[in-house]
Amino acid sequence: MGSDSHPDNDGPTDPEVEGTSGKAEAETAAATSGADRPDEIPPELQAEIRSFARGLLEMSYYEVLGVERDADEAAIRQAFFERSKRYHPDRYFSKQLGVYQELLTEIYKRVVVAHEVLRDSRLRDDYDKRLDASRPAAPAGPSLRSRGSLRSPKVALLRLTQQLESGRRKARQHFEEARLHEKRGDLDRAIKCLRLAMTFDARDQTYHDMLAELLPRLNSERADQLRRKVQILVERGEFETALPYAEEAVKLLPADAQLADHHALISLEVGDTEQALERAKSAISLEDENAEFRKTLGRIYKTMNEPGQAHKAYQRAWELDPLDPETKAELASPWALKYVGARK
Amino acid sequence: MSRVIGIDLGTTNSCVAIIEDGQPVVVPNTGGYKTTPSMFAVTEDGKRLVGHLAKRQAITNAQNTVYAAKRLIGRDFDSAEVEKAVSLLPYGLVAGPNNDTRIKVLDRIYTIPEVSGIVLREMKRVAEEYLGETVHEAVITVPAHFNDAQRQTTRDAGRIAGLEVLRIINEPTAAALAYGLNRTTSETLAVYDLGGGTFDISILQIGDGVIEVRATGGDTNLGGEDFDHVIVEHLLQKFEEQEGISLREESMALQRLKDAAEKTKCDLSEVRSSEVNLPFIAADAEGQALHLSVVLERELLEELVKPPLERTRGLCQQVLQDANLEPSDVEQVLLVGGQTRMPLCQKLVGEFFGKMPHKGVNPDEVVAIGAALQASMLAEDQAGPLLVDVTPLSLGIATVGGHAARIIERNTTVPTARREIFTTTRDNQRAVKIRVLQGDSDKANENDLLGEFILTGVRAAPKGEPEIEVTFDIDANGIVSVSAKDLATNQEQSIQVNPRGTLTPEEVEKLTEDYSGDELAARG
Repeated sequence: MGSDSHPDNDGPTDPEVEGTSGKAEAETAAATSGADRPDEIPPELQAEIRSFARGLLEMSYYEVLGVERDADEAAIRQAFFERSKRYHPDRYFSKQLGVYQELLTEIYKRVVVAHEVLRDSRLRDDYDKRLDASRPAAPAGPSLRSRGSLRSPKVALLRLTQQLESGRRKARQHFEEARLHEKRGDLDRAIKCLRLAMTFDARDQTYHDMLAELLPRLNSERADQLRRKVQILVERGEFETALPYAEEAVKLLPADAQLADHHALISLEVGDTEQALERAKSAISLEDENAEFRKTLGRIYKTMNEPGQAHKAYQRAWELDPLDPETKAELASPWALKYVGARK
Repeated sequence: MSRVIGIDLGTTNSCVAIIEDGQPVVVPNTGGYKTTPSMFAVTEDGKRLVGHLAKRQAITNAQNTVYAAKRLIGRDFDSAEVEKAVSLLPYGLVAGPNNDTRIKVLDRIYTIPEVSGIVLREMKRVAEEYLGETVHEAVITVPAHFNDAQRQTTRDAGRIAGLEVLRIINEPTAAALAYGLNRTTSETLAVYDLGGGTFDISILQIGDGVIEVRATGGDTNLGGEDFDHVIVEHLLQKFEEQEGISLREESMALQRLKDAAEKTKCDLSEVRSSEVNLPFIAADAEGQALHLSVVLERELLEELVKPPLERTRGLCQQVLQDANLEPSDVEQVLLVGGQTRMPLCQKLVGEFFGKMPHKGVNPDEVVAIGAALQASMLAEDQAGPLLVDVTPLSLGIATVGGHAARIIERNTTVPTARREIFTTTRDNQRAVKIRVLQGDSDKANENDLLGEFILTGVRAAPKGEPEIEVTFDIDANGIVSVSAKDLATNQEQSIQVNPRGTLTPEEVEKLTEDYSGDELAARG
């Protein structure tokens, strides 16, 4: 199944925030905390499950299976099989799923009902009629067999309220858990719980507020770790290893000049001079009076074979820190000397 | 991580399989046989025997040799099935404290899970010997039509054998898993499973990496043993006609007749006529030895077994109806169970589905292979076929007037949740009793009672007005939860229906300890 049929129907309210996306989570988790995770499925799948579960009640059976309205029997069966392979809880039997167990099961139950209705022409006709009548509002209730809901709108309404309520209850539980984790300083888990809370109840502003508060904290915490890691790796000369961490750290803390400079150095070492130049300039724009940053810029221009620019950078570095041996040596070397006169 | 195994715990024979390098392997026992008789015996001097060793001495020690115990699983002592069994089985049956059926061997009373556990422990040992390491986890198969209590009893038996039962799956489903391995084309498959004690018919949809059960049905009390009994009955009558002597009270003679009947039945699958010869079967009033000698023709056998065999046809029709299919929609038919070797059986299946059954699988081994595949898929994270199963029996609640209201129909894909609205029957009724039923009868008392609870705090109102929502939930493991809620007051009450076996958890615990480390099959 392509990602196009993936039930990612959420809009801008998606709590996924740039920089904490799946990949980054996975890498930092692998790099920092190790294997102590309650959920052993890939972060991409976690995000997918959350997103699917969040939209579950609003989705039509066609959307649940990921098929078109005019899908034939074979297409419906095929879609059901694909959904089964992805969401059947047995697929993850040996894994510790934590709360994802419940979400997966809820999703799969819905898949089962959707399949049961759409594969039976009589049930499907009935459903299509209801679907057409209720558009653009959400298609009704959780279960086709709850005949009561078909007869009585009052019951349908009650059920919907009740569902929202139970969603809210679950959301509250996850929220309480999030607060506990936050107190213990485990921001990573706290945010996971918050996301789950928002999966069950996206409307409560408290959750959004707390996430808005926690995410920057988590980011800076994570960036700190990353920065230390980058520092060590750069000192050891392991530039290739350091590159992804530096990239991520810069994304998390775009206003950190030191990080930008590190990133520039690393990029230069791995041969990406364009990136290096951009980072070096951004470091300087963030902190104008830093000799180290000028030196980095000088080195980059030297590599790019632009001695004029390189000389200018080293000159400025010397003005800021006249005692630095590297700067002095560069300015005294033959390539630089021919610019001395020009400057005067 | 230790290995997981699949066990086909059969009425007559059991079989164990493992997955090695992605390929299923049926593990032979010490004697080199790929199946082991589901038999257990205690000798005069108190030695316990299992499998072939138990079978070999069955004739001389009939009263203390237990076979076909699977037919007694989950049966009340006063049920019709047990009543019938008492008259047929040479070993002694007694009632347990909960009206369950127990077996008396010498001076000890064994529960059914205990006896099944002894057989399972033997199968575990067979696998361990082959693998050279201990095994802790297994998938065990049961007839598709087994109810909750029977499944739980089988789980208990696994525990007693020192096995954690990852999942109980249905025999025809297991067969389909084995058949569907490496098959990528879409196909509608029927599995006709006639074993020693049970008949199952299942319709499945095979697709790329998924096997979906569409519908399943059967009879837990119809199998090869019934065929043996009609033959035994015929031989008994012949002997009475010839000699004027009844052998019905002679346990050793009955055991010899049963053995001979089974052998003759198998022979008649190959040849048209076979002679049953049992010398010194009895003695007359003067102490003169009497011999039984009867020639059986295949036609006569087919005449004798026709009634039970015909019952399978009706069950096939039922299950196709459940799956909303015609016989011609079935693209492939799989025969499972030793009894399907009978030519008449193959003819019936061929006629019914309008096509010759598939010949590519070994009917004795295919179920264990499927169990091993499922075990490996679950525990070892192998990308084997994913099994999408159904609930075999309907679930519902008891309503006024002794009726049963079904909430989850049989053959519904699991996991699933369903809801229904119910109401009160009296004015100002403040409490409702929810009795959870399993079974397909419209009469409450003809279904199995799985559990009950009371919802209190119902809004006082004229009868018929309150709306009580009852929700049934089945998870992938088949565990059922039921809740009831007054939609006006939000009062809610729920239970998880713990499948009730015949033993308490403490009893299972104790038996597990009793048998651990017990070398049952004193080989040598």
